[in-house]
Amino acid sequence: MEAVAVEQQQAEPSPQPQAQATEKTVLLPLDQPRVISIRDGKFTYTFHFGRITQADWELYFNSIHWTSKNDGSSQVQTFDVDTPGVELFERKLVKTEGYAGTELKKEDFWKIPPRHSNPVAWLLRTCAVADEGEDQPFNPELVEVRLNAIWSVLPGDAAATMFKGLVHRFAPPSPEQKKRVYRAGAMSKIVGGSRSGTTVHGSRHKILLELYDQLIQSVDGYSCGATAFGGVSAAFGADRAAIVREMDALHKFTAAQQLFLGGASAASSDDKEGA
Amino acid sequence: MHVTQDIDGIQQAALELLSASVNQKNVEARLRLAQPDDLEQIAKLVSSTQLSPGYHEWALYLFWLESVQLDPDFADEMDGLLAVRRARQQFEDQNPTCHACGNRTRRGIKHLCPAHLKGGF
Repeated sequence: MEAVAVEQQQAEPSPQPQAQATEKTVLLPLDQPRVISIRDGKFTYTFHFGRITQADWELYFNSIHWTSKNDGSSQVQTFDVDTPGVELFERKLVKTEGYAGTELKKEDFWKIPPRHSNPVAWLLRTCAVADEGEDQPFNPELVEVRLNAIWSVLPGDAAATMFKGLVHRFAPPSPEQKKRVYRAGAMSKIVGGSRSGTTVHGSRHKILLELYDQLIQSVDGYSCGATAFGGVSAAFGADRAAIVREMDALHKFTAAQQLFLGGASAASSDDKEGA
Repeated sequence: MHVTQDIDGIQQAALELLSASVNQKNVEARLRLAQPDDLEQIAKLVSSTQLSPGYHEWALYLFWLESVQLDPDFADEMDGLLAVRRARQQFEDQNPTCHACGNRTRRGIKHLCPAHLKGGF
């Protein structure tokens, strides 16, 4: 299946893109600045972001707070991705359009209302495993993971492009690599002074990003700029070095995570973002 | 405190996981009988534990490590695997296998063996 992009039209008054519209074959431009427009009432607000680097995403993952504890016979979990999401939004935002008064400067970005910053922060992080059925049998020698993601929501008609079926092909992980991932996920700390205290769960993002770079073989559905690819804006194909260098770290993390589902981690909440 | 360093806690977690595996069929049968919105009854099926969830996650990792027969790379894994072995021994002592039917029985509780009951009625 080819990677396709689906345009989505925003429905008022929700500041999030909703309905599906057309499908076309477009490559996700990894080096293009991300621009997200939302409509709120009669007005459109546009947010321009600097490129979100791997270091930015690592900071985001490091800030995710995931704890659990027993409360009687039930278990209470706290999983906060909103705070790091808004921090990422404020850190990478470079320009806004649509607000009344003088143009907001970097030091004024905290004044953006949460009803705008929260949905935009979610749109920045919209990347998920495609749940459509596979059209080929599983190949254990070249494991394929497909993602759906939003990159930009352009102003004007505020249409979001959902890139569907972005393909990542991996060499299969070795038992030792699986062990590293499962170990990292299972290592946790207990705070509260006793065995019944609160578990602060371990994080696997660093290892997953590292293993992505080791295991990735090729991708489909992405492009990078003229400078980086010898004057031709083309799909990555099988340029491993370029993939490792240019791929968005959220896409790396989401794809790599799929390689380790169903093992020891099945019992340790694999679906947790950043875990 | 790192979970990996509390060996007694890991042993307890491993024992609880082994015990839960024996009760699984019983729990599933009772879940089928419970009303979906009767949370109070459903909550009673959850085995009580004093351990924070991180202990069970580490114990599960150790069970996985044991099952794939990978060598432990760290001292905490070696200590943990020994704790799992002790928990298994404790579990075997508390829940011996019936020689006739092969089911686990709980020591101290009378076992109505289906193999012995067969043809008895």
